[in-house]
Amino acid sequence: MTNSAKKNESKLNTGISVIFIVVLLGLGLMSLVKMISATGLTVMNVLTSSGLDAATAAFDDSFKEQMFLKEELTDVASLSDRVMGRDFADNYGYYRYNGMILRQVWQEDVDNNLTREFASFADEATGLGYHGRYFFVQQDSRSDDFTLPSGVITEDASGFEMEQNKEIIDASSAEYVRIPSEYTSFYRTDIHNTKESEIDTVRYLVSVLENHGIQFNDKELLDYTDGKLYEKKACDFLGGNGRSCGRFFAGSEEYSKYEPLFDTDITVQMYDSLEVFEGTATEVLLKQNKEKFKKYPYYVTDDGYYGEAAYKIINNNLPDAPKVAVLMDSSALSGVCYLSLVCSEVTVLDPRFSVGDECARLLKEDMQDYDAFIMYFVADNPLRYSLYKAPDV
Amino acid sequence: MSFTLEAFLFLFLPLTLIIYRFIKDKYKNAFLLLASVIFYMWGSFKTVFVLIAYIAVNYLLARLVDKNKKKIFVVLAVIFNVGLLFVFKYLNVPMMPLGISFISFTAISYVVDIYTEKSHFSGNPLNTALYISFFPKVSMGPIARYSEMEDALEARECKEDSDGRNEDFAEGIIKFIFGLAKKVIIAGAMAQLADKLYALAPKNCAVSISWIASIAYTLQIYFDFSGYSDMAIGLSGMFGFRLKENFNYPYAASSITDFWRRWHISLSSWFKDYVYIPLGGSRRSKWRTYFNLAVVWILTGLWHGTTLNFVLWGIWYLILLYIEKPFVKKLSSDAPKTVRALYRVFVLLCVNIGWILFRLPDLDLAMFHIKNLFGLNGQPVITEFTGTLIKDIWGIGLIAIIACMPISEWIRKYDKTKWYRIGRIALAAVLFILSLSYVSHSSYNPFIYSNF
Repeated sequence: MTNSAKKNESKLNTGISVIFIVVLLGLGLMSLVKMISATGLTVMNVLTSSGLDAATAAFDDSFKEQMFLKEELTDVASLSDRVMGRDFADNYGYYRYNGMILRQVWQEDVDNNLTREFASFADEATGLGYHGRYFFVQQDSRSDDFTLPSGVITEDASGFEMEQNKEIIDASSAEYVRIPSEYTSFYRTDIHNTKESEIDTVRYLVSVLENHGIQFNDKELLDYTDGKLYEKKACDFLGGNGRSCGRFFAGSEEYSKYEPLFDTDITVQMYDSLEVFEGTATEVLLKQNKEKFKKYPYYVTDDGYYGEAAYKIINNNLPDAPKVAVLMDSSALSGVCYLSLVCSEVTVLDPRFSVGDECARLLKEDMQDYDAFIMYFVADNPLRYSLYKAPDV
Repeated sequence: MSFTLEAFLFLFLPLTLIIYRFIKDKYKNAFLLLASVIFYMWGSFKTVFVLIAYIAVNYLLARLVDKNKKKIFVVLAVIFNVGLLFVFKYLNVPMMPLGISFISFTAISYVVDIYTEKSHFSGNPLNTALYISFFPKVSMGPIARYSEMEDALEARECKEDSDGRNEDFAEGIIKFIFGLAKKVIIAGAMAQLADKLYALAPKNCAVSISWIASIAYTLQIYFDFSGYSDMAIGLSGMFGFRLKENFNYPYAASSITDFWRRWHISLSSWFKDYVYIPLGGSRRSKWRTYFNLAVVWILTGLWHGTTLNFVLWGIWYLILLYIEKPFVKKLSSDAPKTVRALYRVFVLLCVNIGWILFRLPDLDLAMFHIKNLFGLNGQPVITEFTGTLIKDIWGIGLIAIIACMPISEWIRKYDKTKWYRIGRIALAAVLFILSLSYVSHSSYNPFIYSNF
């Protein structure tokens, strides 16, 4: 090799080395800036499938230590596919439903052998001995950007806060109801995109419960249309659309504060300006919402973040309404919000925040008290093949 | 800490390289040791004391061996290292130290090599500590011998070689990038496929599904582990350590024996040098050779894990080697080309079956898939689902199959040409960008061998 060739090669090697380090360091700095500027919560120490869906994550082996009843739920879900007449060979696991996707199984629906068998299998598989009603609320993968009905006001959370004490006159749809100023708490849906199918299924779920003799108390919502007070018979479920959400409001006396059902030592971190605050999910939630909690003592949720494995929302105003348990993740928050308006008690289980068997134990202990057990599944995920695990029927 | 974590790639690695480049030569080993301890603590904070214990005890025993030349200290070293490995790995102690299987074997080879005078005892505890804890290899190997690193530990040219080139550094970077791409692009895709297919209920598995699943895992484990090894070797190169290759296109092997000369070479040669040969190797009677092989393969299985599937995986290779041993030499020299080609296919099939045992701890499920490969379960050969799958994966599958064949060896004929070099650098640049994009957008996907 000539001297000049050596020199050129040396330059090339130096160039490679410098570019390599600069690129890595640059990306590192970008990540650091991103992290420092983040003001939201970052869940640490908890394996999740990026917060998409706890129930679906239950199908992924990566989370098996966290996900209670993994095998059982997989079996139940796949069996439910059969109950609903889905053809595995034709669908290849791709969920392409239009509109409503709801799987419901009633022990009482004895004219459908498969259904009955499913109910009994579901009890056996989950080990819950429930013999009750199982609902599978399945989101589909379409229409992230469905249009909210006209008239729905869709400010973001801070916008809402600024407007808290203002009277908004325009509320032409039933989905958005402004409350008078004496109401001191609000109840909002979450920030996630809610799929149309989920909206349909949650609405349908309530109507099915009603059709089977479980009467929901009419929820009186106050509608300030044209400056006049209207009563609506029942609130409707709209769900969220990104950071623009239809919201529900209710009086503070109607809700007990939410009660974590067991302690967890999983900690989360919150980046607040340049400081990192670490604590249990509840501690972080309290810190993050310190000002809001002062204002709204019965504040239930904010920004779609629930950092607890299990808690109850008790609607004091509806003692005779149904009690339901929901196996969920943040995608189900808006549905839970809605259910809490029509149920006396919603027990929420988010297994992502549970590393032991607390969720399973809790569910087994209290299962007989629930009128319905609802499981959320998000079909729009890379785990779809797992749902093929069908037991014999 | 894993090499594919953003914290490693974007923070730890560039900072370590920069500081390493600019500190004085006499502090470089100390700095690398510090970096290695930080690396270790990042991944396994609470067990860093186990690493320190390994270093301290093995250093003392090596010193005693060097001074007294007594076998007892070697025996003590083996008892200590295997004992700790046994306690942490096989007694289900809740916190298993990172890379304990690799560290134990590294430490045993260190003391034994000093006893057999294959390595020289430097007396410098810093060298021992860095050799055992060197971060590119501490968590998943390669199980480098002290002799491989000895010269570099004593004195290495860290900046430029005598020709004034940064060749080792640049080559290290390219090797690292190829390894990263193997892991995050190919192994990641294959892992997703294998995981999903092996999660299917057996009754929904056509024969073709079992084939696709097993081939996907066969490709996944190769690209996962050889990717890691390339990254480790590349990183070592950046710091002036030249480690031996750990893989040599194992799926191009001409026999099972040849496969194990090409797969996880550092582990195979470790077992050969520290178990098989001390037991007598093949120099004694035929039955003694078979016994020695049995010991090696049962230990190889157990090294990977205590569950029955790993033991069976070891026994599977033992049986294959027993069968192959009498005619393997003839096969490689005298057999006609067609027979040799067919035997290569047979070897791949056996390896594929072995990986099913390796992947599936549920033996019933493993047996189902093995039988299903040959249509013995009465399942349909092909379904519409097979077509959909193939449509989804053929591209990356083809790339994976091509990339595990020794094509680059053929291309290397043109090594001296300018275009070869430019092409290689351009390919590395593209793979670097793609890999970083994968790292940033994918969820964390640990290396398979990090479990061992």
